[in-house]
Amino acid sequence: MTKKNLVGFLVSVILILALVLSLVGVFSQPVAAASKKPILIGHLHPLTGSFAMFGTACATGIDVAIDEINLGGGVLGRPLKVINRDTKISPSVGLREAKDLVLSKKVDFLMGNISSGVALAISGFAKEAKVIYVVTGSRSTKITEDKGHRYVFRIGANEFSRVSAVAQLAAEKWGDKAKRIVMINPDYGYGHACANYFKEEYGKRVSGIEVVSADWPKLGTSDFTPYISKFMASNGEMLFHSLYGGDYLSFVKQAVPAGVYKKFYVVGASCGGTETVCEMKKTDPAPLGEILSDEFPYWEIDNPKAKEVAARFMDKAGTSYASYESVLGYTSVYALKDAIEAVGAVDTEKIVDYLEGREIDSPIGKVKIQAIDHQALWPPYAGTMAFTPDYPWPHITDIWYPHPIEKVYHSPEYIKELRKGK
Amino acid sequence: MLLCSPDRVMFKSGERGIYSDMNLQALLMQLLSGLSSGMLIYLIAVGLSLIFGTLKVFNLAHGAIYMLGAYLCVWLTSSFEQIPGMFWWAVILGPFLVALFGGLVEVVLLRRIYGWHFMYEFILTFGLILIISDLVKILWGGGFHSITYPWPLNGTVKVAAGTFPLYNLFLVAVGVSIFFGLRALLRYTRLGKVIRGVTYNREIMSALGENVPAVYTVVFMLGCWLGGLGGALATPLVAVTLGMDTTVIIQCFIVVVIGGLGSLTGAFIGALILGLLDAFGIMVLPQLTIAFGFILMAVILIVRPYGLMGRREYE
Repeated sequence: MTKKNLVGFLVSVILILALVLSLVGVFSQPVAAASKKPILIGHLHPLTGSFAMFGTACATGIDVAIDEINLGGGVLGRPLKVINRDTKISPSVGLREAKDLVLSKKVDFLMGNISSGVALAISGFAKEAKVIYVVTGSRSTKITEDKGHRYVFRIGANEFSRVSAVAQLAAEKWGDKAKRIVMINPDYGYGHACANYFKEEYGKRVSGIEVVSADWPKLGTSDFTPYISKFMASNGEMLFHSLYGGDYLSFVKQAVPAGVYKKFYVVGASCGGTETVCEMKKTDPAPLGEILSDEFPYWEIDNPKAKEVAARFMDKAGTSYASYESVLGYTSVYALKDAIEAVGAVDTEKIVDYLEGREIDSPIGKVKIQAIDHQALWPPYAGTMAFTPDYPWPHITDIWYPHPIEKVYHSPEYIKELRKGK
Repeated sequence: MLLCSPDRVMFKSGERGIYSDMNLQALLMQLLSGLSSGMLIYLIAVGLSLIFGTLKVFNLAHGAIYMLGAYLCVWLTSSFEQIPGMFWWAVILGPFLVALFGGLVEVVLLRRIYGWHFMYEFILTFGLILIISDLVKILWGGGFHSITYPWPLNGTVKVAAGTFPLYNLFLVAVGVSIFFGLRALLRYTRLGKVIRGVTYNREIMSALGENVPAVYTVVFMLGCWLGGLGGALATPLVAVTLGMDTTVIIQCFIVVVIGGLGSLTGAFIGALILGLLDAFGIMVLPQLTIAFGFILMAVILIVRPYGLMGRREYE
């Protein structure tokens, strides 16, 4: 056989195999499944690139919930099924995948996402297609407030609640000592929103604050040396940042040896949870004493279910930590399940009505979904970074969140006012 | 060196970061930071420039090669933790493995498309980015990786009234050594002379009996070694993660465009300018941080389209 023929032969073999396999797939579906058509959830999250760990963590939570539910007989006798799609942190890819999931895969619900830009794109489509979209990891207040609509929900904190919680804790601990603030925030919507909210929320509680300098590195910056030397030469007393993920890790590695944590009281919006800090060892430069927020500090949450579910996530994902994205995905699936069972059908309109203002169950306890903006009042736990003997990575300790929880979310009046002009 | 007393209020500035009273200390620290950022980028960009200079291939996958070097270094260092000074062995071994990988890529893939339309090079090297990224994800997972500063560079040095991490100074030293090392290699060794010959005229060198394809392989491997070395040396400083290549490759593009495609001295000067511009730029106009590199590139492209040290043929 000549080289060309061989290639042609191989290609045809592969094509025939593919055809046969797909036919087997078509015919092997049990006939009985027709009456037990699965309820489909389309999960959209980055599954590749620098945000992949957040997407896979959310998928883990969804998988664990679905396994449990299906083992218990499904929802209304129908099994749950998830279809995962990679958004590649691109609004156009996210939108395309969401459309494909709804139009050709006929999913009943959309779920997930960390990038707010992508979430807003998907949310716009969900509104048009009248499909419920439960946002998990995206933090922009715009999603539920300015651009909120009937079909979008967020189960998880938002940027305002995160920043407000850390600002309150910082004001209480360091308010009398720290008035001159240096800021470093990624130069996109989230970073700017966090910087503004911190100025407002900290400024409300501490008088005479002054922002000495504000820096805006690009998201994905790995070399922070020039920023660090700049604010080490400043007269600031407090450092506020909203860096997370790899950016945060790089920042800490460079900031600790330079003495940033000795010179400043450091406050961060959120470093991106356990999946970010899990690589820090006790011998590494660590952000000890920093105030941060986290949405699932299961090591300190006073609810046995939190640790139990965390163990299930670790088991499923084979990791030494459980992620906040996992618990948000898990809770979202259960919220939909409870709603479907309560209304007795997979009926989008009825499910929306049911969830509005409802207290849903979660591994951290009851969480209320605000009726006006469909924002779950998820506690943004704030605490101080430290090492404890039980965990190999640093994490927030002495967790606290503002009570009543409504105080760290924008009020219905504020949101009405915000939406008025539109 | 220190003219102002350190306890004096160093600058009075509004939020916009415009310093009314700059002091020498702050400027000196920015200078050092800029040098260290620039040298780290230089280590990566010089490989890209070297490959383009000789092979005339614009290797889009050079960032992915850098990422591969970083992952290999982290993996070697953390797998053989018990060996003292393993980081330094990993810095030697990791880039070497990357160079071998590069050699394989050159012989198996790149060699087939020399002289074709440049679009094929873009498609092939872009495909390599996807392959390397997925390979890294399969081998080492999607999480973050991090290793600590190696002994004996885990300290800081006193610079005037401030402190500066020793490791960053080490990077500056490595960058400068690589610059002079490469110059010496190209100028004084036989291999260097052959590389220069092939760069100027491939046909004549071939007619003179030089094994041109082998020279191409060696140059591509050397370029990949440099990229891998940049990755390995960056690991104590940055978080090693999927997607770390994208930011770096854009900076490399800026550097080679400023310096002139294919010029090694150009890459050095370009990296220095970019590093210093970023460092001093954020003191004056922090809200334009993202734009500095691109503004500089646009200005250079208008004034001198072939780059500061480039030759007109690449215009």
